[in-house]
Amino acid sequence: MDEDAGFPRGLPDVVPCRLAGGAAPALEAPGVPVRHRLEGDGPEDGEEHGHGQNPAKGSPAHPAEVSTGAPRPVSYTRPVAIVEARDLSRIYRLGEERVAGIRSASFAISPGEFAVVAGPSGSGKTTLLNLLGLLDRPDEGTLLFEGRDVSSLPDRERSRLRRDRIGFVFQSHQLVPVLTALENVALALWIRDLPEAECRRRAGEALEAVGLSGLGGRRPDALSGGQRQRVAVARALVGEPAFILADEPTASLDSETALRLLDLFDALHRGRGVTFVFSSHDPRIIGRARRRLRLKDGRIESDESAAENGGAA
Amino acid sequence: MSLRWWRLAGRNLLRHRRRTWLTGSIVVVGFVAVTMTAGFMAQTFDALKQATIDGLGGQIRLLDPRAEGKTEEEAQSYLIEDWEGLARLIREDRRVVRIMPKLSFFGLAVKGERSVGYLGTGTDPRLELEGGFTPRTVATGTFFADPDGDEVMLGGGLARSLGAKAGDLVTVMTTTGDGALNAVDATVTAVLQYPIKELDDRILFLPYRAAARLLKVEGKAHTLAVRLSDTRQTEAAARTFSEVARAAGRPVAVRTWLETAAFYKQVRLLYIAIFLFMGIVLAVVVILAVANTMTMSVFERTREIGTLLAIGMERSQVKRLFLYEGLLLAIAGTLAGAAFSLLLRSVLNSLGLEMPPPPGATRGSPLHVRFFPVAYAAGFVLMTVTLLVASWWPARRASSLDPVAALAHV
Repeated sequence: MDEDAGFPRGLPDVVPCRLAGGAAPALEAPGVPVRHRLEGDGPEDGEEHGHGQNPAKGSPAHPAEVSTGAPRPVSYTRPVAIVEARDLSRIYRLGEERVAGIRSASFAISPGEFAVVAGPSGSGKTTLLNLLGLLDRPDEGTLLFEGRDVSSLPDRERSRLRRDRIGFVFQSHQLVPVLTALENVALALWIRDLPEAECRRRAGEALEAVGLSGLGGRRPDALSGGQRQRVAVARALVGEPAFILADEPTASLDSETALRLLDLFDALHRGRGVTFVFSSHDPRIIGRARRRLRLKDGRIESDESAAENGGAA
Repeated sequence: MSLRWWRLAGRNLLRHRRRTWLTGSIVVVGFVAVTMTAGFMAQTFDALKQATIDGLGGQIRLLDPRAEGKTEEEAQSYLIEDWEGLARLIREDRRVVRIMPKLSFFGLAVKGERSVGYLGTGTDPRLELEGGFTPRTVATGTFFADPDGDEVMLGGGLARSLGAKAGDLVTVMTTTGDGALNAVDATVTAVLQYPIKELDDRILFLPYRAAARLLKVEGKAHTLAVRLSDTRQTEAAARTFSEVARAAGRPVAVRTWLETAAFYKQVRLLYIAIFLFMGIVLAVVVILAVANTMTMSVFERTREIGTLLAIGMERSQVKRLFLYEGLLLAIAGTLAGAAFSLLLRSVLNSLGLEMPPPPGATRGSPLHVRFFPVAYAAGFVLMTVTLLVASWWPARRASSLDPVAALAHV
């Protein structure tokens, strides 16, 4: 497939994943995506990746994610999924009409993943990312964040979770125009009330990580589109979040810059073990992900991993 | 929140410099209006206070104890016996500058065929001159030349009614305490321009001794006017004099200048009411202007606010950020306003402009705007509170935005 072109072969450097017990067909249920467990998408060195279970209880979380294949070694410890959706639905009311943005989505994102939420415009990508990023509340279903039910968490708690555990990269860079690049990155730490010196040091390091050391003193209007988006990545990165959510991060970039941004995501993922979940409808971008959640009309149509869709070796 | 949020607020204000300048200039004008008006009012109050004290001869008046609780008119029925003995009792007080006996009387002033009713005051010419009879008060002629002489000074209106001028002889008639008619022929030494028209039409002054002879009350006085070095000491000194006199077996009724300064109190009340009304109008104008600017700012920055909320800025932090912008505008506006106000004050005071006479007055007064620090502090508080109120609603709106909707805002 076209969209698989350029998919990185092999396993991530930092979070090597191999599914013990091999792949098994998933149980399919109405409204529940197929979740194929393949090599390259498994748990870290003998640990299960944790997609199919409720980590808190250690029991199967959702039928769709329970592997029915070969028995697993009992010595596995299951890392807590960063975020786990169970029958998640978001319904919008347009006058008398009820429109489902997301319908019965069930899946989990584990540490070290590099996943894309793919689908055409209007398929619910942004809605899903908003739910995962605790920006929006589901109308039905449950959302667990690091094992804790956050579906009905108070607003203030959600803010703090976003501040401390989630990094955001938006379609447009969304930098504060009156702040320099360094200050824009430091902003994510300012809101934690950290000392200024620490904020600046860490912001400088984050800018260096995205290849912008030396440009910290520039304001957004003195940076190129790609550079601005890198600053946005640094801002997401600086707080050392559990994962980074990027909603169509390349949509406002030209194709070359977009691919370079994906290179950056990839490098951060491989080099630093940063967990990325991003959305895109661009086949070239989708092809770079190791896991692909495909949405159609608010439903997760498929949930594929790299080796299965031909991207892996 | 620390300095960085103030810095951010400052930079946010400078995003739309022209708009911020316009809004800031409203704050500046508001502040200047408050401080200049208050400075002019303070000057007017001071002048009026001084005129009242000068008119009474001092900040404190001692009266016969029988005058206690009586009206001003009723109090004139009682005389202090041996006023000099009473004066000796309180003269030792270090706050006392001078003590002046005063006699009040009324009757008819006659010149030729014309006779006009008058209100007379017998006063010590030398002390009166020290106490506030300024050259401005004497329109024509000269002040009393002989403290013991039969001389008279007439209010301008009274002099006109009598057809008298300096150097003319006028007969001053009154009834004595025992009901007898008495008169003195006195030479007009000066025609005064008394500031209050009603008094200008009726008032005349005689030297104390001439007045005492006229009333046949030598050694007595209706009041002892006590001039203090510091008006702020009035209340304390009044208590002391009352105690000292009582201890000496000569109880007195003590009245402070404020107790009898009805005109001063009315003017003060009127000015304060006008000032408050003006302050409210100004505050409303500033609130509307700033609220409009801040609301536009919130609208323009909706996506940015959505981003801040998304990355975990708490709603209270967002609200504070906008309130800081309002506060910063208040601080900058009042600082600029203070500088402008001081400059304008210097210019106006140096021009020597004359204010028209107020109703009931015979002459205007020079326009002088006093430096009144309280007004600057009050102006700062007013502008700060006003801008906080003006910023509150937009700040609340910003902080209550739904991050998802805000991020999707175009």
